[in-house]
Amino acid sequence: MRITSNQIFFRSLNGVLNLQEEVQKYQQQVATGKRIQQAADDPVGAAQSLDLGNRLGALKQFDRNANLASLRLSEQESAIEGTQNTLQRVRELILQTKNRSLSVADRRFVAAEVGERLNEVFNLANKRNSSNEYIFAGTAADAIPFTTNAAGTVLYTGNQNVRELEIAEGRTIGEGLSGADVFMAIRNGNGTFVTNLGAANTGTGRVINGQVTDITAFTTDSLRVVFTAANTYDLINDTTGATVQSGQTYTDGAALAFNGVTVAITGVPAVGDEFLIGPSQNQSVFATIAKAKQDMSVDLVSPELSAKFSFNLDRALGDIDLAMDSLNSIRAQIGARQNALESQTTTNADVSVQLEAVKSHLEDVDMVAAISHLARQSQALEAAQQAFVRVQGLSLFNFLR
Amino acid sequence: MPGAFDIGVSALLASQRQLSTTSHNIANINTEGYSRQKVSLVQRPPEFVGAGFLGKGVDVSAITRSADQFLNAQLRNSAAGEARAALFGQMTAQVDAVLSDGTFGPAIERYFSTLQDVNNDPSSAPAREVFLSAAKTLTNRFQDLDARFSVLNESVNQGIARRVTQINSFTSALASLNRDITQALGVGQGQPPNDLLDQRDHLLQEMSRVVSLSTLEQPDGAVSVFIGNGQLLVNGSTSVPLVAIANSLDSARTEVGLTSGGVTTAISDAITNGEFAGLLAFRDEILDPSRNAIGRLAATLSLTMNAQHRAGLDLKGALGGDLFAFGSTTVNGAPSNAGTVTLALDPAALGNLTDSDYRLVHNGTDFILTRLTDGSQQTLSGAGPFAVDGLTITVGSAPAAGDQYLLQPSRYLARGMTTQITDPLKLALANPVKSSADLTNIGSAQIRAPQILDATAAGLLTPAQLVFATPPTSFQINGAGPLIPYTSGANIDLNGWRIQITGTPNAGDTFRIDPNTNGRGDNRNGLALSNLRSTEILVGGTASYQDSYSQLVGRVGARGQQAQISRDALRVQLQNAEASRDAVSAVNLDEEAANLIRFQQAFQAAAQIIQVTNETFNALIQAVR
Repeated sequence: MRITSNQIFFRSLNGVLNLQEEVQKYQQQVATGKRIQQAADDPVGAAQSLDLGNRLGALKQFDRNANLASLRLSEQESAIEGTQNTLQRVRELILQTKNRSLSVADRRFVAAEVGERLNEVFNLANKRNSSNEYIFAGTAADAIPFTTNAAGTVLYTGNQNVRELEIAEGRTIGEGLSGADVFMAIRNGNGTFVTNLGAANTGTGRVINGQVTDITAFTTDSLRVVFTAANTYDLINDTTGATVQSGQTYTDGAALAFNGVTVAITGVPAVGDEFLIGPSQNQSVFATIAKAKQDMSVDLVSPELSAKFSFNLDRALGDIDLAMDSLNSIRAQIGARQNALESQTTTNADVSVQLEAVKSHLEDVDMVAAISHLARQSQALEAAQQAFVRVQGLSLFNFLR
Repeated sequence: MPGAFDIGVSALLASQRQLSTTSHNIANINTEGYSRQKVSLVQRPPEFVGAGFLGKGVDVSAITRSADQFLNAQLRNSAAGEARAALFGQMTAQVDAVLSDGTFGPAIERYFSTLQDVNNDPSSAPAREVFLSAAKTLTNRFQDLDARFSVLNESVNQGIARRVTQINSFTSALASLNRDITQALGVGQGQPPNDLLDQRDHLLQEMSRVVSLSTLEQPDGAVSVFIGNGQLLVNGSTSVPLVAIANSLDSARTEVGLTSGGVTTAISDAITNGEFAGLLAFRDEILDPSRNAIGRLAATLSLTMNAQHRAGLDLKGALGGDLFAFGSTTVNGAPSNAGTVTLALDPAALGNLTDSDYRLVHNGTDFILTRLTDGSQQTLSGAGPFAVDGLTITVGSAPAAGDQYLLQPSRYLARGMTTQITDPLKLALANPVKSSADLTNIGSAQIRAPQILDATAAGLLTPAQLVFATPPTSFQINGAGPLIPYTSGANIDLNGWRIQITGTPNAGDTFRIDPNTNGRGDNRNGLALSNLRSTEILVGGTASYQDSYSQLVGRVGARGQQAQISRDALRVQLQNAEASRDAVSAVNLDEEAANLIRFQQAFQAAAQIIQVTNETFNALIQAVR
């Protein structure tokens, strides 16, 4: 084919320009470290790397959420641990006062300390976190959850909902438990049923050794043992109004079996004395402590008061043990959530590392390859420039003199 | 000796012509469209002198240019193809740059991450402020994307208008060249006016970059120029101007129009190559679908977020309002339409929304709906409203045959996207109702957190109380009405909410569902909002918000890449066509230099003839003296 002057010129020039473009491309890759400058460079890779960026961003956020959830669970746990220590101290104080050698004045000093302990638990229950939220208020987090009414009863005014935080795609975890679950919803008695002395009892009889023998036979009916004569009692179901057993003979310390439970009555009940057996109910930690405080301050002027004293303090110990059990199981729940958080955080971190690797593989330049390309293209450019000058110097006119 | 003298003179003249043509070639080495010229020589008719025929010298028979009309036409086609691909690629790269500038992805990511921060701390005013500002940034990004698409649309319109002007100046120049050439052919008695022909070829070449054309040579030397499917632009010495007109249904679209018989019609669809075609294809295939996709995303995000936000309770104890507002659907009706239609998005079928525009035509009995991206048609019979592709088309006043509409459901949806909430307290992150078990309950039954089924239910915020009867195998609501049998874990639906009670209740146990007043730390509705991030809502329920955006980026990127590849291929084709044309027509300086020497030598030799003749004549004179 016939070659023309402009063709020679533009061919050489285009060669130089194309090489300049290539050099520029690799130079930019090396400078930015990014393989994809715009989506057209690698459309699939660009879309994928956007997706990966989104997922990595979400994982980062999940990590933040998990840290916060863990922090808040720890805050609750430490408040609960404080409550348990306080309850332990109250338990010791009750045991101390059970010793009848203490005078009523001494017992009232101890009761004063129990009152202080009550305040301590009250303050722990109304604890706030760094965001100024009450940690045991459920989701009514900016109002004080525990208040004392005129009668001295502690009331829960928070709600029973729990805030959840998202720690993985579609997975949330409760960041704690509501104050109702922790401090209020604690069963009294032995967790199934509760015994009590009639308010008007005059004898020294008291109920001991309550046990559930057959949970399937147990009903939540309220029952009452009434002494109709010195050694005779009737068993009445107050819920149904039926007399379950009638004219039974009383033996001190012998087990009475009914309704799937056994209890024993000890001491000398007077005629008309009543012993009540009903289903366990919720009793707050505060009520348990306040009741113990009240019970231990009684002046033991009569044998029936002494009997009542020892019955009440035994019951208080039982309630405190149940509260401890309940708090332990709550701590176990919190611990389980912490574990779940930790394993989720580890999983998230693993996934992050993988995604980062894939993203980097998609987006990042292979420096070695890019730099060697750059070097090669620069050399080629130099060669093309020299060739350009050479070829342009070739002209017949140079020889026309 | 007059014979030799005349021959010498004829040779001198011929060489002069050749030298000046060579000079002309050298002078025009850089003139675009120039075809090298050459002088054709012919011997003069010989004279019979008895002993034979005696040569009488040389004549210049013609000065011709080296041009091949076939190669020129091929070059024009290649140029039109390359120009189309180059402009298409260049415009697509602009959309690519808009979409992958790395501001939208982070904005939507930040919207959701700040939402989670608020969920972590719902009563925190600063966290709420930060979320609202992230929401505002997101809406700004939508508006900004739309604004940049709008600018691109405007530049397409201007590009069309500018090229219409350009073509008009080409066609009028061609018309006057046609006249000059016809005249010159007459004056030159059939000798070609090479330089005028070159100019005309060059103009055609330039014009074919803008619009693909075909030519037809007339016997008088003029060429007729056609574009599209046979629209005549230049006929002899007259030209027909193109006009830039607004689309008859959508004034935001400039089309190429041609006036014929007083009627201007759009001929955009007939143009298949050249920069015009590149611009038009870019608008139809890249710009409008991208803008529609962004509009669709804006509306889907707004509607789904709003619906969920309305199902929450704000810090003032009221149900949430709209979080976002967005633009409206567009119906462009022809002025001659007898009836009216309206268009709305169907919030229950958002997944069916496409990124297409639609044409709706009434044929006298039914509406025919054409989806413009794939050309699929369907017949809408009856009075409507019609539910198609996530849209609800409602017929207003009665249609007549020939009524036509251009429906642009999602074109302008992103334009008006704004955040509707400025007061951080009005962010509705809490569940509207809460459940609780009375602390005096004896049984072990527990109540789960309520779910909201219908945030618009009238009694949603009315407190309800579930009390178990004796025996506790059933319960009663609010102390009245029938006893409802109890099954552990079964759904209990009332007033727009749903709860479950599990475990063993005791007679008289009470569960309450109350409005979630003072639930300031509640984030359940916030979590539901946050869940929307990964919910696959768009594109038939296969793509989340972010998925649909990355799909768009990927699609535009792929088209951009394809455009680059085809532009490169067409560029090679163009270079080959140029090389073929240049091989025939362009100037080679070395060749001209050689010719210069050759013709100079011929000239010198001819001058020698004159001298020899002169000396011979002088010798004769001397001999006679």
